Amino acid sequence: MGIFDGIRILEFSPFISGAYCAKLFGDLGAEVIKFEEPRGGDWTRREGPFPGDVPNQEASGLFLNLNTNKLGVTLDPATPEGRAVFLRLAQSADVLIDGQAPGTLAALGLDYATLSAANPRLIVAAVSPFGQTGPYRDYTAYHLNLFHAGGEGFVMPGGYANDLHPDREPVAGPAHLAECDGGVIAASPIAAALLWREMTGEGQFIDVSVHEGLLLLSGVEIERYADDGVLDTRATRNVPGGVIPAKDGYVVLDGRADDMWNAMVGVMGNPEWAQAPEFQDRMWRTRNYQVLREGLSDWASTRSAEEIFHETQRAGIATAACYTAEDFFRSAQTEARGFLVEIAHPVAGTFRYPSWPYQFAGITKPDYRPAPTLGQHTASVLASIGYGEGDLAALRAAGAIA
Amino acid sequence: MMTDTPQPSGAPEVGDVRAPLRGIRVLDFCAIYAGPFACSTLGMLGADVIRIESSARLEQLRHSRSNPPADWPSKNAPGFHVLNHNKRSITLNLREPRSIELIKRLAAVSDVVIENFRPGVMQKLGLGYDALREVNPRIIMTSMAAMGDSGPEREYGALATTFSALAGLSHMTGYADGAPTEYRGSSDFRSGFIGVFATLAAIYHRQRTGEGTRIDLAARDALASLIGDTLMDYSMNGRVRKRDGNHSTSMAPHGVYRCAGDDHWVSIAVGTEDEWRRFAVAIDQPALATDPRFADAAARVAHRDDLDAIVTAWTSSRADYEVMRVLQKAGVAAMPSMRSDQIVDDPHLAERAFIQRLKHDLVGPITLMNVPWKMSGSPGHPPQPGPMLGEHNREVFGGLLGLSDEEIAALAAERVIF
Repeated sequence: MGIFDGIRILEFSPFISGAYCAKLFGDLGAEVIKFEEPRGGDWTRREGPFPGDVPNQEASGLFLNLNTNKLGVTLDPATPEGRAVFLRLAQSADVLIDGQAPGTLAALGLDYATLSAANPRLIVAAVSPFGQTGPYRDYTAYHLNLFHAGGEGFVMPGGYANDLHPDREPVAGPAHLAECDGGVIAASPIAAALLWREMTGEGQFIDVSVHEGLLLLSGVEIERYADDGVLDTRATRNVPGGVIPAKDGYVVLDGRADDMWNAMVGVMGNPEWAQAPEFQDRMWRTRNYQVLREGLSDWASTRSAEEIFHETQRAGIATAACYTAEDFFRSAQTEARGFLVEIAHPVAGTFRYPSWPYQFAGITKPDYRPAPTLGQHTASVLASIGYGEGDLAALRAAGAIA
Repeated sequence: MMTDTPQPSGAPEVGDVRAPLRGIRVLDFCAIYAGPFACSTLGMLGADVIRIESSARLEQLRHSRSNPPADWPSKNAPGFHVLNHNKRSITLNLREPRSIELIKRLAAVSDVVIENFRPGVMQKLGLGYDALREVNPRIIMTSMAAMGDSGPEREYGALATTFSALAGLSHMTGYADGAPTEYRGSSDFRSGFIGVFATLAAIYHRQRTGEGTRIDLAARDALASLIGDTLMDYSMNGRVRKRDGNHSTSMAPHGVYRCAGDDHWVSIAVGTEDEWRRFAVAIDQPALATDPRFADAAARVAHRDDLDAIVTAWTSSRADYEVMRVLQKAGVAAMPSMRSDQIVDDPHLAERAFIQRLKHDLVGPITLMNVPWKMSGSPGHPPQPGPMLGEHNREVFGGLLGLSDEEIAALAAERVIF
């Protein structure tokens, strides 16, 4: 049985953070009902990747991954009929994940006071880029903007990448990383609110700021400036080791701690250069990190990244290869953990998807259900709250559902 | 949050503490970033977090400081507090069998044990999941290892920099003609947040079923799960995504542009035709909206070098915050690439009371951040500085386990409580 079996979650969120948050609960057994616009559905349906790069609203890799284990309902709560459906579903639900721009639900007459009056046990989590209050409340942000506002972008790329191009701009992390971070960040207070409700019977309103969650990821750098006046930049990453080019890619080596460095020297066959006094301890290695990098690069240039990774790890050194998606798929570790699961979708086809990054003893991973086709569950979900065939036709005529 | 009398595990505390984890006790065996951060977050949600550390193997964050004042008292660097606020601290030398016995007695009156040792270390200490379950059948154990507790690379050593690379983040971050990016501690925090959620899910499961569990979290997979669409592209098309600066294949402008001042930058992204027209007006160049080079998104992407030069010419004489305000007023997404010196003084964050400047009697000023959420019904605790080393030995060993002052003193003299 899933951890959140029996919990009904409504997701009304064009913001990826809200959709990813709902997925985390759906993958753990909650019944997630995703609302999509009757005309066209969620915008992520139009974003790639698509199989064979052929656009198809039922085959977007972004949409399919974000919406496993969910029920799909088309609904326009801006129509009076749609609003009534929304309210009735809210009465039957445990959690509403509101990923609309702040103020959107209130403008539809679906503010927290109204929802709570209809269902006092309801937990409403508003997940937005900058939170429900403050001067940036209504600011818009694509992934790029959110990532850079979060403070991590400013210090990237750093290290070797920055030494190669010291005058260039800061860069963001890949894909929808910060927006998915936002989903994880929002999931904890929702789980905590479910615990609180078990104890007290009370629902509540949660204001999640994804921006603040991202800032916490850089908490160490922010505190260092606030309390010690030291500003981290792309140029302050001067560690001995780090990203090193190998024959066919890149590795990450670590020459900071003495035991790691000594083991590294051993793996390289105790070359004379590495035993020179300018690398004798961490302070010296840091001071001479660029010379040290050249030595490591010379050694690494004749070996494959994968070979270096395993050879150095066997010697007890914390290292890595800079994996591509292909390397990750082919890794024996990925396979052994069962992280990739095969999911068959009626239109898109069968592909391997990422799944839980955690395992719970005694709780087996359920079979993953594919993302819903547009409106796939509109009729069955509405039937669960008493709408019959005739009602659906009327809702369709009113433009409330597709 | 502090209690002086023994309590059965899981019982809500007296009084009206509106914190969702009230009555939950957490034993924190973690080091450095990921685990300690997860435990502090649980502390702010109301858990009684007891951090177990030792002078025999002092947490490095306690004494490392970037810019220490001359009269700096050791063992309590502010950086320690960022990762260990809202906790109690006890000291136990884990090489002593009597310490292990004391930990088992604590586990019997606790709900959650969180650790981020390499797999196998807790078992070697006699504190594996099975051993803990013997003293407390309802215990939840969260293990946060880089590779997870199974598979051929289970015992590989790791740091945030290395498991970020294995998850694929490094390869996809950086300039197209440059090297991959070394991720810093941020990835530990990412893994920490996922650990918090998994632990809360397990507590919820226990509340409904009475059953504990053991969570085996792999930080490497946790990071990969956050870039799922890049994995889907490989799965669907065999395509390997590469790093490409701040570029987008479907939007332009979509970049980070130089602003006035030294190393100040602003991110700007224009997604729709409507945003494009408003952007052109906002930067006082309405003619751009009718320039055939920039007629639609595909054309703008094709001519993005021309476009980026125009944008840079406009931003480079303006402050990053000014660019943000002007463009956001026009409904265009723009945010500075925020630096720590801007974050601590940002007016939005100040209004939301996100950054908390606290004062510690011995350490001096300590800057902590709040949780990134506001819960109306159960707000939990505000951030409080971390504990001094062993500050709560008497409270925990005496109050919770019932040891007398003499017994505590004797164990301290024998370097068990140490």
